[in-house]
Amino acid sequence: MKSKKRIMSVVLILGLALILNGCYSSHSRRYKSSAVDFLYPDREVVEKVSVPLLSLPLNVGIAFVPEADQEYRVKRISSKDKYDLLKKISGQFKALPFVKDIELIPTEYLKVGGSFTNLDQIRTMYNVDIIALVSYDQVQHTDESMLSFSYFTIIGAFVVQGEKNDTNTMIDVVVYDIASRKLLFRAPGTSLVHHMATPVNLSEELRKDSLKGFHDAADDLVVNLNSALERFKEKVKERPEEFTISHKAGYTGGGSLGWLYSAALVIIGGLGIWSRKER
Amino acid sequence: MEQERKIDLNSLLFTMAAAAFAAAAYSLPSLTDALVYERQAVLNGEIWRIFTAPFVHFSPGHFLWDTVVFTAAGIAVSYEGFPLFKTVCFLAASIPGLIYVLFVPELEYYGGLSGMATGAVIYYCLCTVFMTRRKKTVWVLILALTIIKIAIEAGLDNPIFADANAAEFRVLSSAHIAGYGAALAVFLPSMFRKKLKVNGVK
Repeated sequence: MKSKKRIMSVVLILGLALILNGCYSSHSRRYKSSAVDFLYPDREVVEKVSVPLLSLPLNVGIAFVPEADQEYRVKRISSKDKYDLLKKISGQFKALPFVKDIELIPTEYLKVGGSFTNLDQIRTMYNVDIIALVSYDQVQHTDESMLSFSYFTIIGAFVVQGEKNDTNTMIDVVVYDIASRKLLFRAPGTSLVHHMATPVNLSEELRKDSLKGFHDAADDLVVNLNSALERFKEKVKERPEEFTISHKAGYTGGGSLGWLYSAALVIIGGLGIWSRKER
Repeated sequence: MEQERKIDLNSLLFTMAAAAFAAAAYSLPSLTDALVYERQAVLNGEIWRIFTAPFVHFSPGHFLWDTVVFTAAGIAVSYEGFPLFKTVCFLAASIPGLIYVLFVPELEYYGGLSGMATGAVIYYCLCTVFMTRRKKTVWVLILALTIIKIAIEAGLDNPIFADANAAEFRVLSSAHIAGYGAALAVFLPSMFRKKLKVNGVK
């Protein structure tokens, strides 16, 4: 009889320990795609980079790089969501006077590890000069809080939000001149989403957090992209040996005096008027 | 000794209004879209773009320097009371757009006040040199330097002061030629007919 009680006690303790362990369990998921894996799948091959000839106005392509690992192909972002994100990001390029057209390129047109050979095909298919490759890295952590004890009541699992979800997202855009293989500029966007959920609707909430994370990161990216574009324009002006600019049909022209001539005119003219008044 | 001259308030107001309009066009993207020279839109009947394009700018430097020079020259012309300033501006604003529609089909977009600014500066210099008794050295120098600058730009197809490698747009020396030409076109007939009346100066 005594030994039966002992066995029952041990089973009870072990069961409780398992349940407690379950209550405080932690899960992580990672979804990512990488522009480096796409462009340089064969690490031994080094692409020759030449001076880019930017023939303005530019036709720009924008695409998500394909997810390399088959596991990641479990659709974290649907094609529609990708399209919406691309549209949001491409708006930043559309506003530029030296950009003529933006092509939103479906990920299906890019092969895993397709590298510049794949980009050359895209260049021919879509008639784009430069391409903005969008990659992402999203990590979701789920931890269970003290409230998860209420799951013992069964109904608690339906109504008590004891699951703490953190979603860290980074979206990165690298812009390449396809012909010269030159990286023109890059910009990142990040976001962090905190959310609570019940275990019953956990996966649904994680999907929502994931999408919100992507959209928030894209908003941040748009801001950073603006700064990166300004820095790129300055770089083009400051280092003419690194970029060659030409103009093709459909270009934008402007009447511009330039700061040196304008300043010289204002100073010389001002002196002329001032010296007259002195007399 | 020169007499006290009347300020041409009309020209002064016109200058300020033009500068304010350029500032508004630069700050409001919707206004920029409506005013910029866009070849296809002009061909589709949006003729006003030919005349409004000079008020559109593509970068902060482009806007700042064009507007500073135009405003300074416009104020100087107004204070001297030189007439026909608005005619110079109208010609300098409209000639480039007309030329681009007729002869430059590859140019899709155009904007910038530099044609009008060049016209205003040259007109001021011409009037001061030929219609007043003041020292002419500075103004002759500006006339000569500007014509040399434009000749080099046109010959090399490359601006010598503005940034040729600018990513925003290609600098068009033809707008400056139009500005210089507009000033000459207004000034020379007036001078020959002796109709140019400078307030208080003979």
